[in-house]
Amino acid sequence: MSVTATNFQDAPHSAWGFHHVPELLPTAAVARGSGPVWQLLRRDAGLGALEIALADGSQATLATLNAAPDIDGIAVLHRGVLVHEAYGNGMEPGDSHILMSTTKSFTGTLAGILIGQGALAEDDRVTDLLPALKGSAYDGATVRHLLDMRIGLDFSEDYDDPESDFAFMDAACGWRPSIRPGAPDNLEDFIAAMRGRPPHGGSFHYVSPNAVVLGWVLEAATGERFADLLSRLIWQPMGAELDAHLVLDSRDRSQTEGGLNVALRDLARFGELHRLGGAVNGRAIVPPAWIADLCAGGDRDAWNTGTMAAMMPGHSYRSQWYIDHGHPHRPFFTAGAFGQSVFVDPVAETVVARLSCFSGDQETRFDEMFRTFHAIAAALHGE
Amino acid sequence: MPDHDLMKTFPAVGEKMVTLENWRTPPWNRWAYQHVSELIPTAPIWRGTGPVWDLPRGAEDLSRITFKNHAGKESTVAQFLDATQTDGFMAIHHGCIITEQYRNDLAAHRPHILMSVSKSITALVVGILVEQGKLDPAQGIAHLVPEVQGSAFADCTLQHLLDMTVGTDFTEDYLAAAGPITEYREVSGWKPPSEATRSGDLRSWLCTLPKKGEHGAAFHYVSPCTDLLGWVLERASGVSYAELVSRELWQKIGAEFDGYVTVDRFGAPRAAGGVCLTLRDLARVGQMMLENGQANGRQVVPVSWVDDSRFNGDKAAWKAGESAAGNPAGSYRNKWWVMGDAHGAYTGIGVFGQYLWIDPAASLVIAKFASQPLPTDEAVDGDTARCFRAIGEALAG
Repeated sequence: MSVTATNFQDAPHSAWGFHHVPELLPTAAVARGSGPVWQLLRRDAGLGALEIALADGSQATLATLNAAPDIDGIAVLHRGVLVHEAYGNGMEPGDSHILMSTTKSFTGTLAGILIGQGALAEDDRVTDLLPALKGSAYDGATVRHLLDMRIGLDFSEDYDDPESDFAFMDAACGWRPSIRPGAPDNLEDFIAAMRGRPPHGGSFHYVSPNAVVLGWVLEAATGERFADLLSRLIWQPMGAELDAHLVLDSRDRSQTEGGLNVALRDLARFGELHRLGGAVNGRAIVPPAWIADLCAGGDRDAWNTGTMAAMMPGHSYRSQWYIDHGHPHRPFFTAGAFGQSVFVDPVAETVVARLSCFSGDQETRFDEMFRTFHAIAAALHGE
Repeated sequence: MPDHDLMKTFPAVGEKMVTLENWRTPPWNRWAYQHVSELIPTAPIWRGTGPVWDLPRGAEDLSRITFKNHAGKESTVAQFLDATQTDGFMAIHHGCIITEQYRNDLAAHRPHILMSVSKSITALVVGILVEQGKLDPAQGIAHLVPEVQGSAFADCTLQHLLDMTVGTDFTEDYLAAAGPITEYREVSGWKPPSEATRSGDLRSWLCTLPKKGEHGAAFHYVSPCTDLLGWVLERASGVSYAELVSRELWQKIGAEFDGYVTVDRFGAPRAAGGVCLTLRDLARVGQMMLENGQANGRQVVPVSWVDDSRFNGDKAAWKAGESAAGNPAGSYRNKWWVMGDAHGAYTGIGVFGQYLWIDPAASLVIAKFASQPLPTDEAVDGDTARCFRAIGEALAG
């Protein structure tokens, strides 16, 4: 059985494919450089025995849940100390794993750094930076509209429909076989052909290509490739342990909405960087005001009238992160297809990084994942 | 600063775009050789989490050392480096880094393709597995890779693969625009496939090479022999080539950075040419050879393997082979080119200017990365050996 570029997202191939993406697709290295690693102190908090209440009323320990065949890794930081770490499916600490849409949160935070440096502004027009997208859905849109997924356009992000707009984007990336002859075989052709339904700035509408456009905006504003920007502005100063790897499309364009691959501990470090307000070891990496803004959450009306309100009531979306307003700790987190996430509970001083290859009903698996996050944070908070 | 204006806009346009079709050739190779993973799928060679093998630094000015070039003119080392599309140049003398230079935008942390210096790396892992009793150079390889039945490799030994003395009908014509060598690139994932190779893969293709002549008789440089060696390593160890190189070599020598190797659509490694490493880590491999297989205080490659590589090349096979005219005193053993000079120098060589040169008498290691316009060039290749030899003679005093 061979895992290939066009079947790696499907079980059972994903159990190997998700932590071997550079072997399947072209990737640009996000270099960690040669600086010191951000060392994580270790202390086993005994979380393996933690009992977690599941949706069907039963209970299971974290160790039992971790052993599920579709979980590739979990790392928990409490006050920055690595208190729990487990791997599955042969994944090791030295492997990088695809983040799917958790990539978007990296793109968003990178935007925050560049906006803080004045390299671009929230109200910059997308098509001023990317003239190739004139006449597309992105006419009239600003960087802030991209950041908050409030672009007015028609797009179906249905992962179960083999002919949804998202499916065509997947094929354009080279992640699926071509759906029909003549369909775009690269991201730019696909995105340039998307058509808008203005105005922008209305309801929340989760559209993956928005985060690709955001990544390209950063490249255009700086003249640097996304992988190099991420290396210079986050990966090196943060002290990442391993290089990350960004997938490129058939024209060497950066896949900045779902194509980042990182090691589990580095995903946890990225979450911890946000918990700490953007500074590590006394070194400011992300502007504190940017983190404070995202922690405060996005426009609640935009969320409540948007595409995900029924599935995730009481949330909002800001700068490519989700914020849970229904929980008193107001945790914020990322979410990627098939179970990729980093979850930050600022009050419990807890960060959980999770990498998975969910098979079966996604909603059920995501529900269990978030129950796990909340139970871990509550336990570490002494509740 | 880069010596080119490739891949500078988003997207790069027209001739400024480096693609899977053009990447190996000038001028696109100037960008491509340090961005291989962006063009071809690659498997990581993890350095692990152990300590880095720290090499002390000294300073010696090599730039003004001179040698007589192919045209009979005096050239300095500095002029030579300027003239040969150098991407990286590093020398270690008596264990101290005496020069380390990056050009054309290469950086210390960025891996560069080794081309056929990959072969020397692959063979070191063979040596390690021989020591572990998992491989025997005198044995055939068909019991490990039965798929080779019917091909040139059905009755060859591991040593034949190591020494490029397999009798096979394959011509390493780098500039050919069609024929077996282009098929080879296509099935390796190094070139967009044609209709004929679209459903092919490297391992299956290796099994189609026909036999011609006898094994062991003459040196005949055939890169696919080394890809097969990579496959043999996987079968003997039960782990992938990249994982094996990581475990047996990269995690043990105190490599500073991860490397990687290109893989075909089924994960077959291009063990003959697709390894990409940083300059400093490549030089560490050379220093390990100089120290008889020891790196960072531990024996990584057996002394016997290092000695065998240096001293046991088959002179008769060399004389009967295709490269003897260029260097009658030379030989080839375990994927190293042995120069047959007074210093006992030996080297790994990759097309377009990749070198790992070891000069035991001068206690010198030289690593050089380049993106030269031609895969091989008698004048430039000869000058490279002359230059390195002159450095060795100057340092040996």
